[in-house]
Amino acid sequence: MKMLLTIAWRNVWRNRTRSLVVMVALVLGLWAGNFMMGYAFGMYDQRLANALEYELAHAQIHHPDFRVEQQPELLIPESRARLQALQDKSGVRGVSGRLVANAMITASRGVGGVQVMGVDPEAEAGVSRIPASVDTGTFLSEDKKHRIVLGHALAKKLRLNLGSKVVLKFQNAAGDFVDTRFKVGGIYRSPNSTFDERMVYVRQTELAPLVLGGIQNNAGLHEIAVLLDDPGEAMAFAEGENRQYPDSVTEDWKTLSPELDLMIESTDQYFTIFLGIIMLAVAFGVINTMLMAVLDRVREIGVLMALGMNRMKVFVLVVLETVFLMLAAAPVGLLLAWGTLTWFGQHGLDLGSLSDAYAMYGLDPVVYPHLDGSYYLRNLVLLLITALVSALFPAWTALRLDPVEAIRKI
Amino acid sequence: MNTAARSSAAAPSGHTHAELVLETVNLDRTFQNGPERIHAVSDVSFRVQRGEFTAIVGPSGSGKTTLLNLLGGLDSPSDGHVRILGTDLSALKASERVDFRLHNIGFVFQAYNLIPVLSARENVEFTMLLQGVDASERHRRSSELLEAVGLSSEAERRPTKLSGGQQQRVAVARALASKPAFVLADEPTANLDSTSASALLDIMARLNEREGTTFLFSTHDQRVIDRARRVVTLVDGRIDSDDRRDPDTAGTAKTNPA
Repeated sequence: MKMLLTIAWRNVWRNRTRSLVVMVALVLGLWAGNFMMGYAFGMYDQRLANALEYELAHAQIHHPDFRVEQQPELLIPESRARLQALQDKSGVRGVSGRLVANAMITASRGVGGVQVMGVDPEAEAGVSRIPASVDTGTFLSEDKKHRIVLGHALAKKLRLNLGSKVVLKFQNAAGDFVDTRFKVGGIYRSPNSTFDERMVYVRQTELAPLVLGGIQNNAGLHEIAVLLDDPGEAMAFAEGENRQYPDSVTEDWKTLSPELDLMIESTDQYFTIFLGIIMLAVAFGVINTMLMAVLDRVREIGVLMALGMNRMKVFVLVVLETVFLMLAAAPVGLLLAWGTLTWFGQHGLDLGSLSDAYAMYGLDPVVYPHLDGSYYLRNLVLLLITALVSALFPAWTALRLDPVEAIRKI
Repeated sequence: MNTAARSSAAAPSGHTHAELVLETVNLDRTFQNGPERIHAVSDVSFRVQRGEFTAIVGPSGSGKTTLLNLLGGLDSPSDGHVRILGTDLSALKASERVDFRLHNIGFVFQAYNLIPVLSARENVEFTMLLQGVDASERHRRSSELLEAVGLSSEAERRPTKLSGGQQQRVAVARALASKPAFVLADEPTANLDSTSASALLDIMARLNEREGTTFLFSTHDQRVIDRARRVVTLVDGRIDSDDRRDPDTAGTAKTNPA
């Protein structure tokens, strides 16, 4: 075996240019596979974090029919008691009770459909990063009445500035249409421009009488958003709440936003396919190189056979050469991938001109890629398998050589 | 069968009770070339005993290389038998034939065919490695053989750093490393200048005389023919003549027609 290893290793360096070309292909394949995966995980982890921190929280509680019908009278039974109970519950980091109303917003320069969230500013800050994302004005300060906070995307669409007046028109619990005037008190910017264009925030105490018209003494809630200490407990939390409160529905973020879960789940598959395409390119590179290496050495292989090297050893020799190419390239590829992922993981990868398009899908313009160690290992194993499988055809070609014919080759 | 060939091959000169190392019986090798059937080797029967120094001669296309391929177990006969030390090569499976070749036949090729990534010593040790000979024995024998071919000082050089003559001497050392029953040399001097060819022949003759190594050459190099103690002439795949010479008169013997 030592002899085979020696010959294989020296054969790798016989044609340095050719070997270096295939090694560069392997390095780039490994780097690209790892980097793209790290990039995807960074992007989608950020998307998930954004969705949870700005839009969904970890779980939400509603009246069983509210999410479908969106009617103002569909309040969470005994909303305030429920809110209090959640605030006292262990494992719960923050809760925010919300009133939710679909409304038309009218400004001097335009009209649009929005979802109005009636919130307690302090509680909302405990479950959502929207209050902290207000970069113009404030998030519903105590001293100013009838203020509305909206996103930059909506402000731009309706050409609104701080202090601009808007009218919200919606249907109340009694079925009557209500108009009420608000002044823009703050403008926020979330990573999701679609969200920014749709969600507006007003003080709950101001919205309640307009929407509820006295139901539950105007203290009822349409939605309670819950932030947990451990996001992984969201499903268990929802199941526990649903058992305890069968007259309301608690849903974890995966149920609330199945497309988000699907996106996360499919990331792995999507990039496995992507990795497969990279590996296919690598495979053809290896097949081409090793086949050339074999065909260039037909006579030599014939001589090896004539001298008494059996076909299995010839086969192993060609496979070993591929393995050596891989082993020489793999550390470089892994190091390069680890280096670039670490650097961009710390400094971020700015997508520049693509940032507006990404923002429409709630994706950050600056992505911080990261990759678990297990993926480096998985990709390395995948590359090793690819290289080995790719070596089979050239090795088989060598195996089939007839020593008499091979020795005659010039 | 060529009776003249058979009778003259009865016993090599200078060896009594010589051991039969190689025997061919009615050996045939045909190739199909489109509709044409080519008889490269026809009805060849002869014997080689230990210690012989035999040249197989004949014009181009006479079947020398095909015969050597058959004798070396690289090719299989269409008919007839090749027996080496009593073993019929046709009875062996392909893998057994590789192993048999490894232990019983040494090869010297026209184009040297050393393994370019191995040093001269490693090339010599190659077949011993395949045989599983331990490192110290390999080193001892490779040193001995390289000295015998006058290349001790070039032991660690790769083939590309050696002249053609030096490479062919390494090839001879490699052929002998596995202690084969005989060495097959296909046109060993064809690529060498006269000085290198002469040096190589001196080495092979010395190994033959001193150690009783059996050599079988295919050649049409008169220098080799002159040094041979037996000359088997092939014409159109058949043995045309098989002549023995006394060691003292080698190079002057006349050819006996079959």
